[in-house]
Amino acid sequence: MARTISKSTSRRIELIIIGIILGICTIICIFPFIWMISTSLKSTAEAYSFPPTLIPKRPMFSNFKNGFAKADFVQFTKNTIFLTLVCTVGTVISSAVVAYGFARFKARGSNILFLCLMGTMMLPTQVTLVPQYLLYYKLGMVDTYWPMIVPAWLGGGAFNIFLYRQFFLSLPKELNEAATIDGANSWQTFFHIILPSVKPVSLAVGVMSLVYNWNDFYTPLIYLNTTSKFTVSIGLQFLNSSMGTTKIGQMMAVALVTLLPVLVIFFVCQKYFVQGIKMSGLKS
Amino acid sequence: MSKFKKVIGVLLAVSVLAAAGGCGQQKSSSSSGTSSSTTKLSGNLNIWAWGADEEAQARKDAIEVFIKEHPELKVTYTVIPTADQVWDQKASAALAAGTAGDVMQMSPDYYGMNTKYYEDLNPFVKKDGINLEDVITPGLLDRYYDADGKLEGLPLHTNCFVMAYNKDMFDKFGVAYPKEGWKISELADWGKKFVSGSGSTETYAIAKHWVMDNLMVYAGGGTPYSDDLSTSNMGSDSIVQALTLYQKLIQEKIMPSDTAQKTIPAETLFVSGKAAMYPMGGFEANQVINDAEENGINIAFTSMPCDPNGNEINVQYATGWAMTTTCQNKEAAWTFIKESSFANEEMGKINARVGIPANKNLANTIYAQTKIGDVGFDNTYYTQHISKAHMNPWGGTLASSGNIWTAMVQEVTLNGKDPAEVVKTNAPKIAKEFASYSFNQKK
Amino acid sequence: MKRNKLTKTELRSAINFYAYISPWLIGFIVLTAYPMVASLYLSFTNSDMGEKADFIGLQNFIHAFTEDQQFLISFKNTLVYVLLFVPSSLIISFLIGWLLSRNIKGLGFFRTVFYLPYITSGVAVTILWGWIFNGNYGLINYLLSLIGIKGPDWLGNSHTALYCIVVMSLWSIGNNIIIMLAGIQDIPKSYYESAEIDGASTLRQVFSITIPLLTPTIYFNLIISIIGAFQIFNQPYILTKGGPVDATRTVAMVIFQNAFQYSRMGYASCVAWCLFVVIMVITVIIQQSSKKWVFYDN
Repeated sequence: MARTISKSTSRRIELIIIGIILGICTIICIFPFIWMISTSLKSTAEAYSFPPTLIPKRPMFSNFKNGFAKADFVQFTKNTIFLTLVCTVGTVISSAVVAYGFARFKARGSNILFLCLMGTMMLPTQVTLVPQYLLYYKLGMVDTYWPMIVPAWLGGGAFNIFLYRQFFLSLPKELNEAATIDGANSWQTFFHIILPSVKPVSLAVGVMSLVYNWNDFYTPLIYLNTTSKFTVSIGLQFLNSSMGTTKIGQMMAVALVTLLPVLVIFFVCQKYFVQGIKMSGLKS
Repeated sequence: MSKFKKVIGVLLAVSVLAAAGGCGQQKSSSSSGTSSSTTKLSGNLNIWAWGADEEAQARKDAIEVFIKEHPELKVTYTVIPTADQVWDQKASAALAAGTAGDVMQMSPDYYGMNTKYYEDLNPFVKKDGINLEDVITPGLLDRYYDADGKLEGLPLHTNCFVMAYNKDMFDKFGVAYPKEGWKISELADWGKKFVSGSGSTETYAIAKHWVMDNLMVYAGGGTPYSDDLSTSNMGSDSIVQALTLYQKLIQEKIMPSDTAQKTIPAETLFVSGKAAMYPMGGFEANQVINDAEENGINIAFTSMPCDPNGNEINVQYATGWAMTTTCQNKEAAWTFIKESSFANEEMGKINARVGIPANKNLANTIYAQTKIGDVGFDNTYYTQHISKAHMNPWGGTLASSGNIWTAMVQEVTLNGKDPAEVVKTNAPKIAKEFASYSFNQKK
Repeated sequence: MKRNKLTKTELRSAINFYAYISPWLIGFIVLTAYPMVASLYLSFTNSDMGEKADFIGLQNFIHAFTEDQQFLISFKNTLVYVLLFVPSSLIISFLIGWLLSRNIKGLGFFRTVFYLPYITSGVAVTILWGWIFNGNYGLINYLLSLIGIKGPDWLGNSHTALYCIVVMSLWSIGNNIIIMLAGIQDIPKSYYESAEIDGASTLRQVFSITIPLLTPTIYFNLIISIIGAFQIFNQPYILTKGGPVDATRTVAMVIFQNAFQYSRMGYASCVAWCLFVVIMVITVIIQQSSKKWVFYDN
């Protein structure tokens, strides 16, 4: 019977199995990334050579220099940092607020509005692009950062609202009740009790939003006209040639460097996922 | 000699300019049209273009020249780094909303014809008293006129193809070098001799350049549609012949079938000695010749193959400028377009860096004489064949028919279907598409 | 209709509701509702995004369902993709999320590794995958050749092309993993502690505690994955442009091509709204069923 195996042995077996699975998954996940690094140091001919070489024969560090020379990446980075920060903060705050409304309060029309919220994710953007563009144009927001910032502060997108809502719904009602008994109004309850209870989610939303805004090139590309306003992700497109003459080494070099900031931030922040803080003290 | 004429022309132009001062439109007084404009332009000019490679750089440099010559004009230049899906969306949205630039890049083979967003340039041409045929390289201009004679834009430059081949491979497999005028059906004969190896050691007679689908439309001797775009000929025997040939080439591995060929450039196949021939476009000549030299390939060149009737099969990819109907500064826009195309020699020279320039004189002099590499290649290979080159048959509004053609090719080459059947099923679909095109609706 | 007067609590609830969702509601009414309604209207016209926009009733819809083969094929492809991708993505993201929630060394490293694919930028990675899948020179077939197997032309084969897209998408589900992880870590440790005391095995704990309490998160991932999977566009477009022979043509691609390449905005809108209806119906069905299997911890 299983009971005869001691706890420490079963724990060790568990660790080994986990280790193997994670190891395989790690290789699968990380390999394309390693390949990007490898390709970024190769000439175009070597990048497509066969059999494939992991370590480049003649590392071309010039790919980095030449790739970044294709556009003013310094300016792009400044722009992207600004835009990403503003949008991420706006998303985390406003999506939490809106989600709380959907999660905690019943009112006439709340079901229909929730359906509308979900519906906004279901219509492919290609068909709303032109009317939306026209709208932003009439509001004078074309060639500005507003088309990116405004949606971030007005709810931050259905995805994040939906996510927060799910977590709010799974909080025990006792949390609310305890607060109300203490005489707190809804905002105080929300800000001081509910919000701290979902720190892992807030962090998740923050990180996902950061990544999304950093990498988003579609919306900025559509609405921005002045090159000096472009973001890093648009800059990466400058390395893509439409006639098939893309210098793949340079492109990978730039792609690599542009994803490093996000990677570093993620690595630093993900520690806090560990602290799955939960008001388990209420359960008694 | 044209050089002499050029000098006289410039002198004449300068004196006319001096006399006329700086106001109003100026008449181009010589047919060589190399006057450099000193018209005082004012106001704003908003230019939109796509791309990010040498071509885009050349455009940028040319615009810089223009800006220097017109200091009172405030020029803003918007560039969208990729063509393809994002340009389509951004340009469409902006054009539909009426907020696009005053001058837009356009390409008869890719985006822009028949879109109703562009001004007819004929009145401007007429007002300037220019005879376009005198100043623009032959073969470049025709496709900028739509079926009703409206001039949608002016060309900047174009690129067609030349067949590059690997002498060493021809020697190795015992095949005679292809001579000018060789027929494409010959690929099915001596092309077989190049087939060897398997998997990663496979060798081919010819690499599958992305242009192949467009070239093969003509391989049976016909044309895909009538000149006025009103009827499609895709049900004809020549199309069946073309598809049969294509099928044979791919099934017998004379040409690789890899649909994901675009993920590994066909050029790499050629310069690494796996494919004996490669249709080399003017836009990639530099890269291909350099790579070939680097890899020690003995490279030589010949004309593109001919169809059964002896007509050379060649396509060109062109770029030009158009003026939007919402343009706020038509005078500046017209001057810019004119100068970019043929009227400004400085800008024309920049064009010549990336393709056959629209400026007729420069095409025959500076461009043609440009040598590339040490292999005895110069651009006369291109200038001598451009007048026979078709525009990319499936560009712009014809894209929906082009996609059907692509599906037809894939059915035949990948799924091994019978070409006659595939043509029978799909030709009516293409005919239907043609009937639905807006320019055919008026008739 | 009987109109009850709102009680005081109901009124207070309504005020709170609308106050909290006001940021979204404003944005929705001003910025989102108009484009959506406009596109709905366009779907009944023959708009080419120019001056032409004649009302043609249901013609677009009839054409789509009876004559346009690409429309039907793309729906089939998209459906197959959804059925392959969504369950796999849920299972994989749960497994990995759970593994990451165990106390193991180097957790930070692993978390970063699994999130890496998601962060990596679109175009560069798609090109990379194109090379990985390449028939003659790609990585997969190279590795297979080392053990003597001749791999097929993955992307050039109508049968395998769609699977490649699924694999590519599964590689970058880092987001779902993070969300699953957040959900797992949100479960109070006290439950596990009491289960330990009762002598429940790890496996038992997973099935009796983790999964039931994770259902709100699973529900979220399910809905989000389905909505996203139905609209997949970038990968098939860049990798195979819908080929070979429409094997990877998705509905979103059909919409894109009609809207921006053929300038048939009216028809594109029609296809888009058909997709919308399909997604909405499926979502509502899942939402209704969620009452049976989603446990909110109240």
